[in-house]
Amino acid sequence: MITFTLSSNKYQLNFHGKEMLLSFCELLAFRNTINAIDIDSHFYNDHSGIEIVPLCNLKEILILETTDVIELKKIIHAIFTPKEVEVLN
Amino acid sequence: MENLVRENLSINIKIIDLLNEQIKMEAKASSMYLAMASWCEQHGYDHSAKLFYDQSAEEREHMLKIFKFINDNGGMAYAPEVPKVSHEYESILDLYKTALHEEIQVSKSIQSIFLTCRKEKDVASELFLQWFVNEQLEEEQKMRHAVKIYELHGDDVENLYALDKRISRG
Ligand SMILES: [Fe+2]
Ligand SMILES: [Fe+2]
Repeated sequence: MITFTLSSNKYQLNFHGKEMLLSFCELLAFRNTINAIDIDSHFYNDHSGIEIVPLCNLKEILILETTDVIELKKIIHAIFTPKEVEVLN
Repeated sequence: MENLVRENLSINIKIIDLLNEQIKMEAKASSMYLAMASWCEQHGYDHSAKLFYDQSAEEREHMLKIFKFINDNGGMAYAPEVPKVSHEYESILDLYKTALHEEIQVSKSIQSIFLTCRKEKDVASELFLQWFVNEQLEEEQKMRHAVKIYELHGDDVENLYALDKRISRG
């Protein structure tokens, strides 16, 4: 299971039981890394289905399977999508 | 969670992504103009070469302006990879036509981001981009002016170098 929760100005990522604290800029960098993964390529025969992703300025490394990547893309999109009423007010 | 995003970012995340794409475009333009300056020098068009050296520097400034804007407002700007640019042109007219075409692509891109700002109600980014909208008009005019000069008077080879001097006078 993957979850993001807020804990006093940091983002706590729980990745299958492993916990990491991300500052906002680390979250931004993580978002960029995840968004840059071409998920379609995972479904070609020669793809290992594994992504190795550095996190928090190389302090951590995550090994992601295809399903993790899909889930993370969804979660991160949700974090950064403001609700209608909150659009830059 | 969204509130913390808003606390950290003064501008819309979608706009940040688009501006990072624009950074790549400005970097490519800067590199392309450097290649054009080189071509002009090789072929004896000294005034055009100067114009393209200056233009290359300007594109880098555009890039940095966007870069700073993203970082100053809580986002993360990415240093661009620069794609390959052409060093081959059939003629000085062909070269200016290519430059004009590229400027038009940049204008379209800027305008499209501008309209997205509107849609996303990102007023700050919209105001920031207003300068670029105007700047693009100038850049298009500069290249269109050169294309016109060479289209009208460029048939005579003797004339080509005389026309080069007129380019810098604008
Ligand atoms: Fe530019
Ligand atoms: Fe330009």
